[in-house]
Order: sequence, then structure tokens, then C-alpha cells
Amino acid sequence: MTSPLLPRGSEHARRLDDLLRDPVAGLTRGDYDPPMSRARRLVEGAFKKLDEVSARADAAAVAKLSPAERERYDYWQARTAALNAGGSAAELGDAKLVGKVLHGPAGEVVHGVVKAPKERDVIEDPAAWEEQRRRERAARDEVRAPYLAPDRRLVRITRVATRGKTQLGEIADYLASSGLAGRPDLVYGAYRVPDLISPSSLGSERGGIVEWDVVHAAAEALPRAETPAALTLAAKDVLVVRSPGEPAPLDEDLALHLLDGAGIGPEQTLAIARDVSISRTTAPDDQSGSRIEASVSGVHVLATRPVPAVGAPWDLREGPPEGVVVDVLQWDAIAVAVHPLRQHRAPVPSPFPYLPLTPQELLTAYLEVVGVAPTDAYSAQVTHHQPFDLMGRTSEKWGVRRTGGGPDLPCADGKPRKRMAGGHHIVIAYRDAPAYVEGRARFDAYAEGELHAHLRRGLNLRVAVPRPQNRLLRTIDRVGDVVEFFSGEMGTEDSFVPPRYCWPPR
Amino acid sequence: MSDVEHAGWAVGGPGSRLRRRRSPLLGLISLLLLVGGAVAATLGIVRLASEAGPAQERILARGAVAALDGPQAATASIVSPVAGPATVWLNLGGLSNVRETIVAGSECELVRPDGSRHRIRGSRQGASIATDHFETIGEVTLGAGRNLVSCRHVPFGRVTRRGRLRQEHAFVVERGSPTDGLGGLWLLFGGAAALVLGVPAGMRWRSGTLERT
Repeated sequence: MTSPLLPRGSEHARRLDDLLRDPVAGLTRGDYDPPMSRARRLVEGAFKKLDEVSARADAAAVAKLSPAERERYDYWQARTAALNAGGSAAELGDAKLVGKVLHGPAGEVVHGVVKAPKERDVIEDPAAWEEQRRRERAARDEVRAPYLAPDRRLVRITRVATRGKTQLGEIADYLASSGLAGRPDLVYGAYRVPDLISPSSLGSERGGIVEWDVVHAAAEALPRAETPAALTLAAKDVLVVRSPGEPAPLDEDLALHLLDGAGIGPEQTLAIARDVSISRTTAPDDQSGSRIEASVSGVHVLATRPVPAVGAPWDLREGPPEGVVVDVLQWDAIAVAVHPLRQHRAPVPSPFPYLPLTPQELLTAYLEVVGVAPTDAYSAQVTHHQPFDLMGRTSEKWGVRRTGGGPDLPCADGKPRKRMAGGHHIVIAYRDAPAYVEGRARFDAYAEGELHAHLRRGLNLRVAVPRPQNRLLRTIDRVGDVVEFFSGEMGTEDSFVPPRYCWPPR
Repeated sequence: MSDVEHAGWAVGGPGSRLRRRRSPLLGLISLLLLVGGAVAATLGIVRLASEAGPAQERILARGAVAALDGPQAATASIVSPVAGPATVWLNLGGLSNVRETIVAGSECELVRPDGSRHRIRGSRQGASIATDHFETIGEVTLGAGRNLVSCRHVPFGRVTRRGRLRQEHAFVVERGSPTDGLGGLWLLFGGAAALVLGVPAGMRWRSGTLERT
């Protein structure tokens, strides 16, 4: 009878068998081993086996983590290793900041390391607010100056108003009428501003006002150009071949591969812009109140010539095409500190004046520090990634989260309206060059040194495609839904968000 | 330096080949639906408030509902030149559950000029109409000539709760059916429907359609 912990036929197993079969002979043989020593070896062997089994289970669990979870796990592992190597907790910083985007004074307040400083008198008067904002911005520009790329281009952001239903056609028309469509070498990108305007109005955004930002380097007026070609790819369509476990494509990856395949470079591309929509939804049963959810339902491509999109699904490699960078930065982590109530103006004087006040300021900083030339740029956006509840950062009245309560703020058409500021990520896509590698290193030094922020942490991009439920589980789910409907005991809403462009996988 | 420069609407600016066209007809229709709907709904509410219940000029006769186990009470005598419907209303206020018990415990009998009889019971109405001070017992059809309506309370509900049935209550007979005073409901429903249609029509008009110039 061999112990199941010992490998069959091993030396230990053979000895244990001998010992059990004839204990006296075993003890009187020439190769006598003291019993305690043998027992110790047996126990050690058992523990070694247990360690191996445990390590395999850990490796399997780690392999299942999402990119953001894996990142957090690695940070904690590194911290533990540093502590074991003799590092002190004081040297390594507060554990509450491990793996977090924001560090420094803002991070310490946001993550509860220290108490929030007593609020200074926030300026309500719009003119005084603007004056103070300018002063703070000038101070930040001064800090940023040493990091700027020596051969940086002009960065202007022009905001226009459109109607939700016809926004893509309207922005294409604006690019033509402004002449920018004829000079894609001057355009970094364009994107739907992820703010909700008039949040308390009836109806969907289709009939409402939706703003677009055009990021460009045109210093003067340009002659009218031809209307650019627009292509929209729907996230719910299976456009990319992926198997379970393979990374889901990013919106920009897909658009870039299509452009690459068609031989359309950044000098012919005006924008790759995620199709962001904001809608009101009811909260799952385990949460109270309604949600105002920003979600991505596809991607738009605007270029000077039509982008062919035939033969889907395409078997695309992971990430962007060779030689193209898609850089994604965290914005919401900063917004939590500098703009805590979405439907209000950001408080000024800012509690953390060293941090950018708007996502557009951070986007501009990136372009200027890295020195991205508009002729190399495919996309520059302030946008969203996963479904994002705008109600998560609003004021409350009697425990009820509010959509209003803030002042009317100027819109692109000059009319002031209520608005809820959105924006989660900043996405910049461009053709890479050695100068940009240095530029990104400069930007990282600026972000970590001056903003005390690790803006690429916790992005959770290109998550592994999950395995779809098999037919039996789907049937069980449907039966469960029917039972819940008739019993009146509705369970929690299914919060599964399928990956875009590749669901269901092959 | 602001982070963004506001440039107005994307469409309709200098060099734009798109114009937003809004249909004047759709605008007019949505305006009519919204304004008409609001006016109709308001009028409906006002009419309901003022017309529901027996109107003084339509009351044909008054009488009293005899108390339970009590003597005969005043009978209503109606001389009608033509045959036609009439509504018997119990005149009382108070809490609705108490009123409903009293109405359910009421019974009236109509004796027509030709001697035929029609009995109505408050507990057997399809639906009762109630105002602040009146509630229907039922509808009768009067004959041409002299009609007599007599009412009395009858046992209804638990014995311990029949105290109010042992009292006399006034009743009136009104010309017409109980729903004659509910014309305002049609205005209210119609107005609400117009508003429901007017909102999307207005939003559609506001969005307009883009046309190439």
C-alpha cells in the first residue's frame, strides 16, 4: 500500500512499501535509516507535493484574471516581495495606493490615506471662475514647459454642435466646410464629446444635442473641401475572428487594421472615433435608482477616401498594426479628484491645481509632450470603454442622486445648458517614430513626476474573450427567467457585457 | 486660453452643404397637438369637476330613503311628458367605505304610470359614480306620465355595521343616465392622447432632416 502522495515506483515509495511489508527486516538492513529521519523525509516530500499542487492552482487562477486584475495582483506581489526583502512599509508607501492611478496629494485624499483638505471658497461667478481657471492653467503650463517636445505642432480643439441622430453626417459636413477634410495632415482626430447635455430632458439623445470636438493644427481658415467618406462598424457584429481566451480587439485596433489593409495612412485619415451613446437605464434589482449609462456601440472612421469593409469576419492579429501606437490614458481617476460633481463646474480654486482640469487639457498635454504630428495621427479622443454610469459622480439630495442641480454651462452653439461631464479614457492612435518613443518617456516622466499619476494603470483593455454558455446552461437560464417572471421574484439583471466586434467567438 | 473653441452648429455654417430643414406642417401639427391637448385635458378636468353629479336644473324630484326597519319615507313623484332614463342619486358625504355600504344597502322601486314596476339595488350596479356629495343607486327608465320612486335601506354587510342604514338619507332623481356628466372624461382622454402624440412629433420637428444644398 503506497501513499497516494508519493509517485508510484519512486525510491520513497519503494522504501515505504518495504517498511510496511517487513518492519524488522527493513530496520535491520545495511542501509538502515533512523525512523525519525525517514518520517521527516516523508513529511517533507508530502509538503513539497502540496506546494506543487497549490502553485499549479494559483497559476491557473492567475491565468484567469483580467488584465486589470492581473496588474493589481502583480503590484501586490511586488510589494510583498519588497517587504520580504527587508523594505519597510514607510518606504514602499501606503498600501491603499498599491496599483492605483493617482498618487501624490490627490491620490492620498481620493483613496482615503489622508482626510480631504478643508474646502476653500469655491468661486461661483462665471467670470471670476474663468479668471482663476486661467491662472491655474498658466501655472500648469509653466510646469509642463520643460517636458514639451521641441518640434511640437499646434493643438487646437474646435467644438461643434450636432443632433444625435445625424451627428456623423453633420461632423463630416463640418470637416468639409471648415476645409479640414482637405487637409487630413492637419487633423489629429475628432470625437463625440462624452458629456450628456440637458440630462433632464425627455427622450433619447437622437433628438437632442450632441457635441463633437475636432482636434487639429490649422492656424488659419481653409478653403472648403470635399465631404470625407464615413464608415461605421457596429460593435454587435462579428467582424473579427476570435476564439475564447484570445484578447478582444480594441475599437481602434479594428479600424486601424481596415485602414492598413486599404493602404490608407494617417495622412489620409481624419478620425477614428468610438460611437459613444448615453442613455437612461434602470438599475439592476440589487441597486437603487436609475443609471445614465455611457456605452460604446461601434466605431466611426472618417477618411478622405472610402474604407472598404468587405469579407468580415477578418482574422486580425492582436493589437494595432505594426508600427502604429494606440495609447490609452486614464482620465476618470483624475476627474474624481478635480471635478467631483459632474453636473457642476469643476471647483475652482482647484483642490489639486497641479492636475489638469479637463480631459481636453490632458489630451493636449499628451500631444504636445510626445510631439505627435497631425500627419501621423489617426485618432485623438476623450471617450469611454466599458458601460459607465454617469450617475456615479453626482450630487445627492435627500439620498437621491441628481441629474440636475448644476448651473447652465456654455455649449458649442453658444447657448448655456445643463450638462453632465463624461469621459473615462483618452485614446491617441498614431504612426510610431523614434522621436515619439522619447516623447512617451517624457510624458511618463511628466505624468509621474508632476501629476503623480500612473495613467496607464488599470485600463483593462483587450480582455480575453469569455467562453459562451453551452446550450444546456442557456436553456437553464431561460427556464429560470420564466420561473422568475411568474413567481414575481426577479433576480439580479444579467450584467454580462459581451466583447465588441467578436461575440460570439468561433 | 480655453481648452476648446466653440464653433456653433456643425451644419449650416459657411461652406456647409447641409441644411437642416424643418417641416412647417409637422411643426404646426405638433403645436396643435400640444396646445390642443393641453387645453382639452384642462377643460376635461374642469368639466368633470363641475358637471359630475346631479345638476340642479336636471333634478326631477327629491325623496328620502327609509331607514332599515323604519317606517316608509317620502316618495319622489315625477311627472314626465315622455319616457326616458333617469338616475337615482343618494345624497350623502363622508368616508368612501361607509358611503359604499350605505349605497349597497339601498333599494329603490319605480312605479310607472302603466303600473309596471322596476326595482334597482345599489349593490347591483355595474359601476357606481360618486361625487363629493352624491353617489348613484342606479338607473331607471321613466314612463310618460306620473312615476313614483320610493327607496328604503335593506340589510347589507355585517349586522354590527348597519347603524348608518337605520337612518334616513335623502335621494334625488335626475333626468338622464349617470354618465351624462362624464363628458369631460372624453376631453381628458383625448387631450392626454394628443399630448402623448405631440411630444414625439415636436421632437421630430425639432430634429428636422438634413438636406444637401
